[in-house]
Amino acid sequence: MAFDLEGLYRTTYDSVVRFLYRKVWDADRAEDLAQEVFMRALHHQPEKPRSWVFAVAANIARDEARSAIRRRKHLVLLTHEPIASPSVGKEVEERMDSEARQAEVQRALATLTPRDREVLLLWDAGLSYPEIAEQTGLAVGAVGTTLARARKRLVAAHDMVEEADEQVRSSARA
Amino acid sequence: MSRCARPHVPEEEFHAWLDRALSKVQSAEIAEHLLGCLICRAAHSEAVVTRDRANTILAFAAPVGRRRALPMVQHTSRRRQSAIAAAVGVLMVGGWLANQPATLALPNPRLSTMAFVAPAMHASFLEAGTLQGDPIYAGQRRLTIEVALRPQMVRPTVRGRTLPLAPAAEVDPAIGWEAISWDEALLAAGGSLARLDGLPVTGVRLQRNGAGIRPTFFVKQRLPDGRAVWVIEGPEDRVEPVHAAVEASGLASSVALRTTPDYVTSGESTVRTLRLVTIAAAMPKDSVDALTAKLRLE
Repeated sequence: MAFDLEGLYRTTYDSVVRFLYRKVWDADRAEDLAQEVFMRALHHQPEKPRSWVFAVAANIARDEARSAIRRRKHLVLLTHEPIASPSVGKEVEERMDSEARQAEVQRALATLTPRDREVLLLWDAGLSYPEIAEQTGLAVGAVGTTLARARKRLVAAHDMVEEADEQVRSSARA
Repeated sequence: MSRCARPHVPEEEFHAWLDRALSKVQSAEIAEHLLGCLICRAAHSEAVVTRDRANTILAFAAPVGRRRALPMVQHTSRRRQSAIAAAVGVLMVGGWLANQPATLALPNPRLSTMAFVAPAMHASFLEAGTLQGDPIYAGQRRLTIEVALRPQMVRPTVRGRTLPLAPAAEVDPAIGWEAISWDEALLAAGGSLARLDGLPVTGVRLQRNGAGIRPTFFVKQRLPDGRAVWVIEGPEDRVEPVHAAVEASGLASSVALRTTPDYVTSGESTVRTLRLVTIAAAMPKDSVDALTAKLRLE
């Protein structure tokens, strides 16, 4: 079957960006990495393109995480630079609220085991159980078990994070 | 009713079913099973809630502009919303129930489903001694116990405050089963509460038995393989019927053990209350009995 990059791009690009974003937590970086994934897909023309792009995205995100550790020293220096003052108003408030919520999700996701997190994110990216099984090396039957556990843990962790943040906000108000 | 020929559907199968990852035959089997099994219907509802919440949480973890439409307004936390919605639902159902004569309400099949929403209201029927010989009442009583043993479908707390499980619970907490923390339970038990050593406590339910009488407790714990086990503890006269009902429900329960009695001073006299402890779980009776070796009082 002929490789259809355009179709693949149209149907999976958003999911790949979301998947990568949850690994690198930087929207621009996630878009850049997604572009790289599709460039590689064009070059390799894989037989099972959907699974393939997510497998490559996962590898790229892993490499990115390693590079981020190497860059950390540099980032520490940058944090001392003045930050441009944001515009005031509702937009800023909404953005802060959104960022706070996203940070909560990030912290909740971080509490999951790498396996649980990977399966959950792959499923959310639209992969089927057999596709997830193929990529993670799990048996198809174990995907449901892993997903059920991952969802419960995510919800519980998010509740805890949310509660902790709420307490911090309450004490700050007091 | 809830007694089913086939075993209950495991949680992961519900998730796979909701994710449309099962074959048509498997899906049909689950759908058919759900028609006749209230316990699985409750577990299914729980899986739906968990899955929806996980989806909502994940929807936030997307770059701005690429977020999917969220199922709910997000300014109030989802957890708070579900607790509030559940409380409102319980109040509505409870209000309806409160106006029904017990003799009319018990045979009503709708109550079977409602038991999962307002277990406290059903617990109140346990007090109705005149219905002891009624087979429908016996079924309802078994359901009530099963409900009490099920993990909570909703978390009835808002910022640590326990929401009433039913309107009656506000007036007379003795009828209702409250979900409380381990520390609160320990306090209510006077510092001594039975549990299985070395297993994490994942939930505690308590039924207050009035002033000077020890409450009845359901301490839910998790076995290393993820299965749940419940330690039921309370005054002898309260635990005995519960123990009998648990056995009738299809769950295995251990032999009831007597533990250190409570001595409660009331006025000039001291009342000695015998305490019973039993363990319930969905596993062979031998295994449940073996767990009693791990019982400890804290």
